Amino acid sequence: MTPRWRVRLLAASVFVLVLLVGAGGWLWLQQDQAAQLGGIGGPFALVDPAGHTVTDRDLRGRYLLVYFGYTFCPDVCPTTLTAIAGALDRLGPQAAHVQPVFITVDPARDTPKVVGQYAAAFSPRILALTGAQPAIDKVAAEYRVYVARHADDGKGDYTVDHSSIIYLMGPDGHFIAPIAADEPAKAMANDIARHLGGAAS
Amino acid sequence: MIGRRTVLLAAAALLPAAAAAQAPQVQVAQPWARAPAGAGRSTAVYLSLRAGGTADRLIGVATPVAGMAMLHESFQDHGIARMRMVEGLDLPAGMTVTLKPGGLHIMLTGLKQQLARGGSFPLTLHFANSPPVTVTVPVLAPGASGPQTPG
Repeated sequence: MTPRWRVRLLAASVFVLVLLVGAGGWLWLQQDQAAQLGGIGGPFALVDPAGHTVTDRDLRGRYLLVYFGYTFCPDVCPTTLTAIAGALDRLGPQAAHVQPVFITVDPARDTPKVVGQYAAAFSPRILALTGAQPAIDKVAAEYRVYVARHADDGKGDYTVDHSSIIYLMGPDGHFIAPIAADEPAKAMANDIARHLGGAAS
Repeated sequence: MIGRRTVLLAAAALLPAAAAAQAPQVQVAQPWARAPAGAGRSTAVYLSLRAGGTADRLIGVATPVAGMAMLHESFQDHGIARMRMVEGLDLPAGMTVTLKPGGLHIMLTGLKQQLARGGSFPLTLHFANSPPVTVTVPVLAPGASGPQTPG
């Protein structure tokens, strides 16, 4: 082998090695991400506006759009719930298979009645849930929701930073995909419809 | 002599600009708010601001209907909805700055009265250079997404 061929062979080997490492790394990342995404959601027992317990099992058979927020939220939650209501209107008959669920991250202020009134102001289709703090903590952890309460201003007012992602859950209770919460209704409807395939009537 | 005349001419030329600088005016357009989706809940006001020939800065907001009115900004940080207080908002000359859902807004907390859909309330904006402007903010539905949304 001439020195030139040796250099070429070495270069080719390095190239193949880089490809393999890259592909392996990519696959590993994909798997890791899939495992993480697959882990979103879980059993819960919360309270609806009428004071009845609602569990994840009660909601099987429909697609769920799970969104976490709080009723003192002045801007983002109303904007997202407005978009969800608009997206459902745009989904037409498909919307019958989709149940939006609003879960408060601020159960201290958000009683069943309060969350019920709040969600109904955007759409009667939105199921509002609250619960005791441990039950909320559990469901927030299952959905990997970040919640951070800001310091009280002394008058009892505080805001809460929270994950602003809509979780699309399948009829079997498994996580399907995240839906961006900051999209307008039309884009959100398209995003949801893309995942509903078989449910279209 | 020539020097003095030039100075006078220059001063005369500056006069209109100086007069404009003394009375800058920020135009406030299309104010609206969502009716709070529940008694005592917070809400937000959205509007557009346009400084005229001189740049200005929004430095304060006030309304008699809320215990506190604050300029706020919502932003997304790795999928987390966060809010921060904004001390002031620069208004470049001749440019429209719009406060809209999911971004800059005037947060109203500690509401002293029910802001019912179909009603309205006064809001006063204070600027660094311009005199304060008071606007009437119409209250739209909790699910309104812009000033054009009917009722």
